[in-house]
Amino acid sequence: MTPVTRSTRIALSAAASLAAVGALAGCASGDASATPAPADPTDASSGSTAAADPTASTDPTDSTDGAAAGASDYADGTYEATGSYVSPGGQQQVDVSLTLADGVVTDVVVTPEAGDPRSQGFQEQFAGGIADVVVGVPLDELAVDKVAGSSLTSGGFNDAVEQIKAEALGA
Amino acid sequence: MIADAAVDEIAAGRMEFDAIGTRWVIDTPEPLPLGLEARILAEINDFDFEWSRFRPDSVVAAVAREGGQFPVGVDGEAMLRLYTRLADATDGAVNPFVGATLEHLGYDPTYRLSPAPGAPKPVPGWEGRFQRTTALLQLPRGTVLDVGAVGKGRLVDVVADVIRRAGIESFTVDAGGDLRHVGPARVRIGLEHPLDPTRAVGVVTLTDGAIAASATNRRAWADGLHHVIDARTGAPVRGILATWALARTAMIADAASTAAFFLPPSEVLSALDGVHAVVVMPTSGPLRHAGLDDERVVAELYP
Repeated sequence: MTPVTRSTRIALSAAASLAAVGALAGCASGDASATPAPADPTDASSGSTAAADPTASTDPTDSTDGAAAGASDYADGTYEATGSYVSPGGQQQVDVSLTLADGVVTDVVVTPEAGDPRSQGFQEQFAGGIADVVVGVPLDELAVDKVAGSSLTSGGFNDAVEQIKAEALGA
Repeated sequence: MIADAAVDEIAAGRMEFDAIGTRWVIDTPEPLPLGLEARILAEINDFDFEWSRFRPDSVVAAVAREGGQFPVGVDGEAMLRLYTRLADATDGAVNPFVGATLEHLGYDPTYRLSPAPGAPKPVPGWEGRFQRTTALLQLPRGTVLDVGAVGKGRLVDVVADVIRRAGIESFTVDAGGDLRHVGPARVRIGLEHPLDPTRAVGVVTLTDGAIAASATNRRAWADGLHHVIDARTGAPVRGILATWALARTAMIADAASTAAFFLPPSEVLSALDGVHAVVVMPTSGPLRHAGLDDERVVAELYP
């Protein structure tokens, strides 16, 4: 298994890009108001590359009660986190580094760490597209009669995918 | 949510069921007579019996075991003629012989969903296999026919014809991604975001026509493995997340939504007769489209 060193840096220039990141987070968790994964802020000037301990959830701000939810709650700096998931090719990892300035994400670096080549290709595809995916609008704000999508696949197919996920987790 | 009176009117009768691995919703002004419901289900079963590579008793399964030359019938003729157009237009990328490749990659009748070891065998070339004048298909043994690029659309058209022949003049047939509308109403259709079914990337209107949607994150079973295969490489296509196509019939819309994985939208319109508009969502970057200025397609996109 060769270590992967290639990172993908994504230039963020528009509010739409931020919305795209938000939409992906919402998609992954099924919760549109998903908060960023806990990560320790590292000093951006130090160039530290240590991955954050995912169990640490230090609040970088002095907010007293957390009542005011907004981008400004997050301190400037570079945040890093390592995510892991189980694919059919085994346990996979992906590193994400986010730079915040005045509550705005100014830089995202996604480093695919997958050991399995197929997962790695998928991560690279994702890393290249994360900042630039079409966001769309909520369907409940549109008066439509029908929806054209292919979300309704067969029960058998979906059941089989769920079964394989369960087996992979139990392995 | 009902948008206007015209659609309200055609949604008074509704038949819902699961068949060929998807959810069907048929909306009509009046509830369908029971005889017609039975007839619809029988047509779907007949089609499945001939064309499904997921049932061992199908004609397609028998052909895969034995090889040889076969008459394909009316549906087969319509679909395989269109496949010939698709194969020509995409330089061989679309080919109904990808069934064995899909099975090798894990999309087989048992839903194994894990790739077999080694590389899949090359997909046999399509050229010369189907004789248009005799409607005979020539197949080497072991070739698994997969009419996935046009089959569901064709079946939606078959069902629409059954309903129309019963004298019903205004209705929709929606088979989970392929939708045919018949009648004077304007139906507003949201283009579902492939990554988030609560959102739409656009809205189009449809009057007496069809729309088909295809997405690579549906019917996907592992990283990078999904059901849209480039027959030239035997690998799933990359770079496109979803496509939509509007056309005269559901079969043509289905074919165009597959062609849009291999051709720019404007070339899909010129390659296939009866295509009105195409929208493509790449894995990165804005939506691409062609034909949205067509007067039959009143569209808004939300990039």
